[in-house]
Amino acid sequence: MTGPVEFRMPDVGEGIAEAEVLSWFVEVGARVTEDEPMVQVETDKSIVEIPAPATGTLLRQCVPAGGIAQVDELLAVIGDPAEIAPTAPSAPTAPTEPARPAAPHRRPLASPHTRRLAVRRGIDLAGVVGTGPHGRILATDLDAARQEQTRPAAATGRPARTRADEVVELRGLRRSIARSMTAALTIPHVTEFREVDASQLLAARAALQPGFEAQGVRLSVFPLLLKAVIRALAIQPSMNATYDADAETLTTYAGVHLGMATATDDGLIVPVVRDADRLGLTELTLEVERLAERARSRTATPEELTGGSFTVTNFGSFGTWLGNPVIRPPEVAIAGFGRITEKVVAVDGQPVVRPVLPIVVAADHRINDGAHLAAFVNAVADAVAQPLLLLS
Amino acid sequence: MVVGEMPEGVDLLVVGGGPGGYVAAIAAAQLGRKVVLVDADGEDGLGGVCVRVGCIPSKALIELAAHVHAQPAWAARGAPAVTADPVDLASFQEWRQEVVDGLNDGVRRLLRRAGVEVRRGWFRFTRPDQGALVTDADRPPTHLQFTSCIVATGSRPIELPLLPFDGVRIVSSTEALGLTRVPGSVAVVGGGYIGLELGTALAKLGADVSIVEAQPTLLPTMDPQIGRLVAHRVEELGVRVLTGAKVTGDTGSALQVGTVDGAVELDVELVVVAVGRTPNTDDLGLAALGVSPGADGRLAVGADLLLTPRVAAIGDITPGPALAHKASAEGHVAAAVLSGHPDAFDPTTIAAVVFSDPEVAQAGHTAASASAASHQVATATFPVAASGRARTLGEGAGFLEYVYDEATGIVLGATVVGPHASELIAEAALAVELSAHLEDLAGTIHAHPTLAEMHHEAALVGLGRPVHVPGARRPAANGDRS
Repeated sequence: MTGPVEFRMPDVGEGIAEAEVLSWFVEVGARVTEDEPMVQVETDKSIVEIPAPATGTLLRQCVPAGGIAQVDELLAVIGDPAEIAPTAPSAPTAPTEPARPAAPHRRPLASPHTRRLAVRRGIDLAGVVGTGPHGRILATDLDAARQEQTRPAAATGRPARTRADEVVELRGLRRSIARSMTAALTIPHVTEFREVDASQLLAARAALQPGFEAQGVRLSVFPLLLKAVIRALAIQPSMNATYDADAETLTTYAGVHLGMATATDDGLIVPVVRDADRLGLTELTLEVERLAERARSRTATPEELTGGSFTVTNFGSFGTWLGNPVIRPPEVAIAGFGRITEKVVAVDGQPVVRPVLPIVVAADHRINDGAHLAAFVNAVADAVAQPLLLLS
Repeated sequence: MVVGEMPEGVDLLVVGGGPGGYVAAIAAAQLGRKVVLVDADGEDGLGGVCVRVGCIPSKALIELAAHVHAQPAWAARGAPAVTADPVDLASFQEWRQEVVDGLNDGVRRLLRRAGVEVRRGWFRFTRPDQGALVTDADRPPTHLQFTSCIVATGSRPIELPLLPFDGVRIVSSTEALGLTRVPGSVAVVGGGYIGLELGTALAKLGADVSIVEAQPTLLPTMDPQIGRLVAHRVEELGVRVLTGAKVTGDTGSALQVGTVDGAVELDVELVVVAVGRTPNTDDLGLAALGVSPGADGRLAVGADLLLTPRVAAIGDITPGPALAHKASAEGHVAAAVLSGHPDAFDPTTIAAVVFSDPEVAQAGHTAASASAASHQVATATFPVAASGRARTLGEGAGFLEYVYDEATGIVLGATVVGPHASELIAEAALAVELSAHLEDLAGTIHAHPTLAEMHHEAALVGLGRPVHVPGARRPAANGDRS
């Protein structure tokens, strides 16, 4: 190759300014192959594997695992160690600028100020990768190192609970959720609950099922419920909107971009079905399945996780009857569905056992009043009770 | 509790007013602690061995000796000759005492300004959070109950069983520094830095000096090459250097020494025993804390210097070289740790200085110790003889040597032998602490004409592009300027 390749943190999606480096797949000094995964990063929205931009030897990992990389920040240097270190051409494990001292018993390169900071923060310098000249550990490297050392299981996403009273700075998804939920506190929620007879809905699903199976698709109730929501949003478009409280502007969307709250091991992720109102039931079903899987495996792209205009959450999947859903700002409403259970209900004055679906809808009271909310819930409930309406 | 043992509450107690103790006291006061410092000599003890009977008086004596010794050489270069009357050591001692008193008073003022209360007395632990302060044998002790305590009781000269101190003929370094008359003949037992400094100074003042060292070279803790270099120089001063030699007895007028070449009798007026120092940990009541010193009398402490959760130990009573600057540095750490600020005594280097002729100073690794630590070692040396500034001082002996990691160019240590090595080592110590690259030293412009330029020149040697010494050591590497 013609010289070292400096690889900078790519722009992984709209509005993403930084990403946390979860793990390096390639050690310093080892060979990387172009287009093969080199490093895994986590943005506020997703986990992304970034491939190597060139083939060569990984000379530097500029941001350690656990560190935060800003977009355009130097992430890695790939090159041929022989070109840079003519004195040690045959020593790939000792590049000219090793990310950490080669021998573990050697003292980490750091100034007294940095060492003192490390002691004060309880960081062992032996585990810190220096980004300064010749691998010197800088004071700024300690910020990243603290993440690494307090989140040993970050790479697997399952922090081991072996220690009590651990203080961990929120990062990535959890921080994103925390911020979003804190922002939600500023929304005055108005909430309506409803129980709907789901007999017709289940009958419709049963009727459609063979046709879907013929295409190799399993039809669940959920896409039907999404259809009901899409219909209701068409009737009550003020629910299909986002509100910018600072600018005091309301954006009402022409299309329906449906967020689906999906529980993952790492936390709640909301992939978005774009233009859901333009998808047929089959397409919608497939898209829901695809996005849910990508969310659970944390492989959804930032595009797939942003730009929602309305969110649906499925309390039934946790076995709960129903919960109080929290609106995701800047959206102005959210719908939740519980588990369909058989209940004794009165039909024409007689007690009858019917499958009953609990529905909850919360709206931003600054934008939607009780009347708007009721109209929306009515529309959803009507569609659930009479699925034929979904054909209109 | 015994009747009368009503303890007085103290927030942070410092035991010992030396360079460890008084610095710790000021540092703790700066952190908002209410500090009481106790010293066996009260305010007179402030500054400790360093100010009163160690560093400061010895450097005063060495400076005087250097001055006296340099006069004939300067006279030969044209300076007016000074009459060769014997040195008036008595008036020197008066001046020296003024210097010491001035420094002692300075420390007293600093402590006062910091709000530190200084008391006189011997302190001894009686409980994990309490101890007795004895001011007078015939008065009951004061009991002090502390929240935190820093022990900084220092060390004292080691006495040899064969040569018990009598304060007249057989003396310690402390008494040797107080001499009011230059002795005719002196045997210095111990060729470490204290013995060498004293022996050299006394020789320059006109005494007939012999140095007796049990190890094969002088300065046995340093590179043998340095010991030999220094031995050569003191022999030029007329000093008799007996290495690999042991004192076997003393007749009262003659010191009996066994050497590899047989027994030698040194007919001397004065015997200075300078074989090292022993930590003052034997009478501290440490059992009350549940700790005991090791075989060498020192207290095992970690980087946080804590003996117990509320008691820290610093200075000569802890592992490491018995040096004032080490004690002071530890004082800052102990004050922080006991005040709830995590800290660690974790220096890369503690510079060591010998005020011999030539001066010797070392920081960080030597080539040998760096090799032992698995570094790919390289050295870069610049001779004092090639320094223009050294020429103007009439000095030519010595060198400045950097030890660095050849693979990375990072500075690992340095040795300076030559004029003002004691000052020159500061830059090397900083380079080692900051993990400087040779380029960092070479790229820093050093003022001319100074001795400090040798740092720059030595770095250039290491980088393969020397200017003031001939020949490139090796092809340009480590970032050549093209």
